[in-house]
Amino acid sequence: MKRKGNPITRKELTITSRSMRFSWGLFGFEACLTVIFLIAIAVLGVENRYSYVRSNASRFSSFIAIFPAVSIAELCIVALIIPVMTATLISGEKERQTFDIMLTTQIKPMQIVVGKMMSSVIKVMTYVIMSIPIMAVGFTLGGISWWALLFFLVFTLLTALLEASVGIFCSAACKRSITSILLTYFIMGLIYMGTFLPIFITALMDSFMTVFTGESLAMSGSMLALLPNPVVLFVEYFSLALGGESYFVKEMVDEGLPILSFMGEKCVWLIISSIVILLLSYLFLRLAARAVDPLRGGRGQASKAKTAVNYTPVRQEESRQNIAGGYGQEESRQNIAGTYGQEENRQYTE
Amino acid sequence: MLTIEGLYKTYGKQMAVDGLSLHIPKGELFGFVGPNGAGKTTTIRIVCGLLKETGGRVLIDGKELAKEPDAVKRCIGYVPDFFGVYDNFKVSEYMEFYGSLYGISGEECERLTTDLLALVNLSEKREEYVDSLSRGMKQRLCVARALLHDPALLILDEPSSGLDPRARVEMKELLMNLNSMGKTIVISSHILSELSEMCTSIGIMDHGRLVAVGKIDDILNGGQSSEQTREKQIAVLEVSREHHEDAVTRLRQFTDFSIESVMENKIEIGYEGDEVRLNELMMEIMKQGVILSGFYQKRENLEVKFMQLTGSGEDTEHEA
Repeated sequence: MKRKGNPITRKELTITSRSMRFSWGLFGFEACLTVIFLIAIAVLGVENRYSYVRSNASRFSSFIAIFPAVSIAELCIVALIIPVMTATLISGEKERQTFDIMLTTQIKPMQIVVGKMMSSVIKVMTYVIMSIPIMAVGFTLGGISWWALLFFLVFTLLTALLEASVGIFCSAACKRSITSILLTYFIMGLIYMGTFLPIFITALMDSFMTVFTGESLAMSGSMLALLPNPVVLFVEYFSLALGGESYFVKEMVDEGLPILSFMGEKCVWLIISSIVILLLSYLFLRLAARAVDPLRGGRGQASKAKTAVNYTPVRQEESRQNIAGGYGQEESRQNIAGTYGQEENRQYTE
Repeated sequence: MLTIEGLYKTYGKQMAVDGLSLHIPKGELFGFVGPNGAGKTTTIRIVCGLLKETGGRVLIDGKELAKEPDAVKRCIGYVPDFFGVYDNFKVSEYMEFYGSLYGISGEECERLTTDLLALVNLSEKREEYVDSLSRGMKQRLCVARALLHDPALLILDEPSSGLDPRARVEMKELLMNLNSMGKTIVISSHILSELSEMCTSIGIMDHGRLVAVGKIDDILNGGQSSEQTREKQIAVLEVSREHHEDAVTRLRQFTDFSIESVMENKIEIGYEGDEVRLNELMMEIMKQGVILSGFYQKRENLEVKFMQLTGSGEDTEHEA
């Protein structure tokens, strides 16, 4: 029977499913979430006890906050573990020299990086899916639809795809696993925090403008830089899922940003941001595929080739002379007689 | 089968492969030898498409690597010097995994796995984990893996490094067996005696250059074929202690050869001609009543030749 799918993903998952590390990782992940869940319940319980409003309805509605609390904790754990999970995927294969063997087969570099990425995304999504029972407690209290959970899984998948793509790229680009982990954290830090920089600059300029000219700057343009930011995606998602209000789109529509006011939908940020994140993931995968392809990675050395070829004939002639003259029989025999023991072709007489 | 034309590879300012040109015909078992850092592995990695060359070109079965990398990869089976294993992976799964990387799966892969494991004598290890195999078994498994897509050219980089004597012999037999099946094999190794026993031709590399290439006998004869050799040869006659003095006296009467040295139970004679001439001389000597317990032609061995050919670069460097 022919097996379908990416062989690299299949191999990674086969190996993972047999290792105890994955089982312990799963246990640790769920244990962390359970602890966070219990802490969240305890905090909410304390809040309710000392709250001025003591109605049962208010107590129930406050428990809705368990869902975002556990979800955010889960996202943080996912964001932290993916770089560690992906850092050794390519560099580990290189260290074992199995990567060289892979590259001599018919598989394309893009298939290798996609296979590696998919395996880590599947592993992380297994962690996330296994945590649904913990998160589902929030749903039993009402207030959040099952669709919200489905979209949470979709957006978590997108975040995992982006993180894994960046991780694979860093693993392909770096020789050491630790460098790869640090570089992944750095790039993800840029995406998570660096994308707020345009807003910060715009706000700064706005302050100056207000002081000196009395006019104010529109913030919505700089907000577009937040599209590839999964944190913002989740902020928008939670504001929609819990309050029914779109924070970013409302802001932009109010400021009259044409494309968003044209679309005018509640979940437009979620859609565009998801597409941008997918495109960014693809870009990092392409870069990773390029980094692992030995035949493409050496392009920059063409100028050196020309320099080298210039003195080819002289070198080759030298070599020939060495073989013909320098290592002639006479000299060889003298060396042999004088120095070394001999290999014999024995021919015994009868 | 394999043609390398003016191959160059530089790492920064360092020249790893310096204008290497080589042609290996189909069906050869070619040995690549050279000291550490000579450029053997770099050359092999370029040929396998694992490294981009700085200049020159590589053709395998008439296809140029730079232009048709996929077609070239289909012709190559590569066995690296270090066998990497995946934890928790069985032998059959290992073969199935690489089969799928070559685009072979299902029943065909099953059949090939059975045949190849039988070829490398690992049939009974089929359901065992790869990391539980001995180093020699792993290396044979690696050869079986490299043969999955039936490549015309098998390239092995130091396949015997770290193997015990028994595993080495098994590996040598396997390679010779494959060569007899028509596979062209390129093998890089430091074990010269092993190469001289199994290779049909060798290439000696030093400082990125090919300093000698051809049939082993031709290289030992300094580039001339054994038939062409007309220079002075040395033969060693083995004589028992009681017949030693008598033998020396009788041999001094011959004018066809000269006595080069006399040892306790060996006499070295110098003569001109090939092995046939040596046999004729021995017949004449024995007809004259010289009692010999054995004789052989004194020949250079590959180690000696290797030392001569690869030593000069260092000298030149020091002089420079």
